[in-house]
Amino acid sequence: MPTITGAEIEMAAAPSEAAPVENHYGVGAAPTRETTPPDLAVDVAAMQFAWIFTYPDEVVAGELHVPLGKDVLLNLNAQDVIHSFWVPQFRLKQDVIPGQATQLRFVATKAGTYPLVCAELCGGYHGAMRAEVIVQPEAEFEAWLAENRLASQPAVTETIAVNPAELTPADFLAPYAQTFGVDGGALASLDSQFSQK
Amino acid sequence: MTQTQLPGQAAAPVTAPETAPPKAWKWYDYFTFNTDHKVIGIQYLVTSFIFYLIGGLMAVAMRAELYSADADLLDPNLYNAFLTNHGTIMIFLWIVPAAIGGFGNYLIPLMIGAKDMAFPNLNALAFWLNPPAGALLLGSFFFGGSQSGWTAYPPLSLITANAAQSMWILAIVLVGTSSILGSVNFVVTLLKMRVPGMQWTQLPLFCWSMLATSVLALLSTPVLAAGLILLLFDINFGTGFFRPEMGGDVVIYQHLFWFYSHPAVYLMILPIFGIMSEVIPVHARKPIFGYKAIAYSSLAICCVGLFVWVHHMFTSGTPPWMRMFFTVSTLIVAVPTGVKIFSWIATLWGGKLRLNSAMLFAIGLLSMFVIGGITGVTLGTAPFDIHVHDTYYVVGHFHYVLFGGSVFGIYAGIYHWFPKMTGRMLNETWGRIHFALTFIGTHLTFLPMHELGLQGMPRRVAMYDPQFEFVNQICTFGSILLGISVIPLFINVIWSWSQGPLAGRNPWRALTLEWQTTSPPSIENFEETPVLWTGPYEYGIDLLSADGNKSVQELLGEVSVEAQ
Repeated sequence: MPTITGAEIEMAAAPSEAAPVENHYGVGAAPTRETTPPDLAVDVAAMQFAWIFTYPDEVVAGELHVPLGKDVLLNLNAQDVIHSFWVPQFRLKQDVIPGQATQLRFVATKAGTYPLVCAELCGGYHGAMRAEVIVQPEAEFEAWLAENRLASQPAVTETIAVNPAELTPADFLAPYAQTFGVDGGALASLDSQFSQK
Repeated sequence: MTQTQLPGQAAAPVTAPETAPPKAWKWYDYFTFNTDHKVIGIQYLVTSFIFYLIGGLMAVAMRAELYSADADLLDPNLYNAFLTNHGTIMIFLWIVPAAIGGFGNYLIPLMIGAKDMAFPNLNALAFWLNPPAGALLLGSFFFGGSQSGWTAYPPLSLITANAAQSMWILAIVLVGTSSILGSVNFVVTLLKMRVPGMQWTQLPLFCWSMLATSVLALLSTPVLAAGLILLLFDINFGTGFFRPEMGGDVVIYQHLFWFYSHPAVYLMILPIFGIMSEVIPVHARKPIFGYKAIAYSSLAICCVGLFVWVHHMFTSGTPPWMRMFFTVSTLIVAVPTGVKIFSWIATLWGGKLRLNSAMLFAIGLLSMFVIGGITGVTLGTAPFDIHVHDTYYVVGHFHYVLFGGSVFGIYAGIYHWFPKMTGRMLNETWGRIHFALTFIGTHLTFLPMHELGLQGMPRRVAMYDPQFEFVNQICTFGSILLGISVIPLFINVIWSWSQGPLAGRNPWRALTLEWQTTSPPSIENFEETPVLWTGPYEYGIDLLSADGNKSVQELLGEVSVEAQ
């Protein structure tokens, strides 16, 4: 499926200030920026009747956090019907179309919490399909991301049940390494011996 | 009803007198398959008015739901069924049949001095496709009602209330077919059946606008039918034209849909422009300003209107060149529309205005349509549209155009031609009350919606952010006022139809041909082929010579010599 590059809209998130960052204003393609990688890419899944945001490192959230003044790329995809990603304060709207990869790129220039609204009729509870966009200074954003990264890491000690047959010996023994005084080198050699058999 | 007897048929028995058409239609003739264009016109008007009331009740129910931010009055799926069918009924079973089917059928043969339309049977057939379509839409509520909006975008329309959605598609295909049959009829009638000597430049402007409307309908309606049939196949027969999981493309549907449905906006407003061009000069007692400009601007709207449809899809991932192209083409539509607006204002300027109900609605339309037109220009501009697309700003805009425009125009037409259709005058006082209620109600309901959209309220929602509650309550009160505003019209029409003062042939002293016959016109319109003795809008010009002693027969003889 083709990527809709024309969907790239860049706009200031501060309509009241009307002081956009250089080069970020206007609608349509932004050929000068198309080749530069964004500062942050977030996968956005739209479904009846919710938004799900997936950050790098598998951080999943129900609200969109973006760092202030950074170039953000959203990869939008719809799970069921057409939705539309609308942040009224950003003056930004992009339909999320099933079967077509859609992108939206913007720089938020004013910290705050803004509503995210679905703007395309998507079923009975279309009006309830709302979420929030939180624009925060980069440090705050990084802290939020780190916190959620920890929360989303599967901690082994909290694992209730694993099937040992599915684990490699190294993985299986890793939790016991401290207890038995086995270091990484020993584990690696053990693993290689094991796999040679 | 004489027929040329061919030599070989001379012995054929003469048709018995009892099969000859009656002198006047009885009330029950209006419920039958009748080929008289006047009967069909009134059938269209009355049927569509019933659907107007049904669609209006749905609107009031929705506004009642939106009185509070939560979905507490209606089930959200029923709300969606109401919004879908409100839009569908108001477009396909009220404005289009009333403006095109109703006024078009009733007026065109009279205005061009013909006995009937070119294809009377086709005409009756076209009308009788409408009641089953209406029945299908209303019947679909037993299956939950179609819930995917009047746009019926897949995939939502493919997965929601399949039976009701299929009935909805069949209903639209029926009225679309009706529209195509009607349009063929209008075009042929206008081309071939004008009274001898009627030049194109002597054609009443309503006929010009109906010509543009018909051409537009003929070019665009089949595309919608194609899109909807594909959708019907996707729902019922396992095809995947618009199913993304089967490699279908949902955006193609949007192109097919809007290729018809944007011109549909002009289908709903061009006949109204025609009504305006008739009502304003008669009641301003002045020749119309810029006859040719108005006539050709209808054709210009018809042409440009075919190339603006993507402005409904600026957020659907359209590439930048398309946004650019369709922004420009959309803004161009404002030019011929502005030509008309200025021409009407220039016609009013310095006129001897008769501020009766018809004229009040016509002037009300002017003010409303200017607001709707300006917001339309803003919406046609891609950068602005990206913010307000699918919001209440759009809802406010198109209700100014379709309610403040089309419905006001239909009202103006009813007050203007009711005396011709029934032979009786409507009550002026109740007409003015009707106007005042409608005018205030329209602004109260639809003006605040612009603010709602700009501030971030999407359309087609049963529940919304509580910060918008107050403004929504204003809209709800306005809609109740609009609901009440229909009552004076309803009573006025019912009462005046049998009890109103007799109108005579030409109560407005108008010059177009429909006023030169009896009210209501006899079954074949004119006792004898009318003679065109003046242009359609030569008001305020002294037509009598100074001595003025000639008899009518002498005058008619003179003009018929001139016409040849």
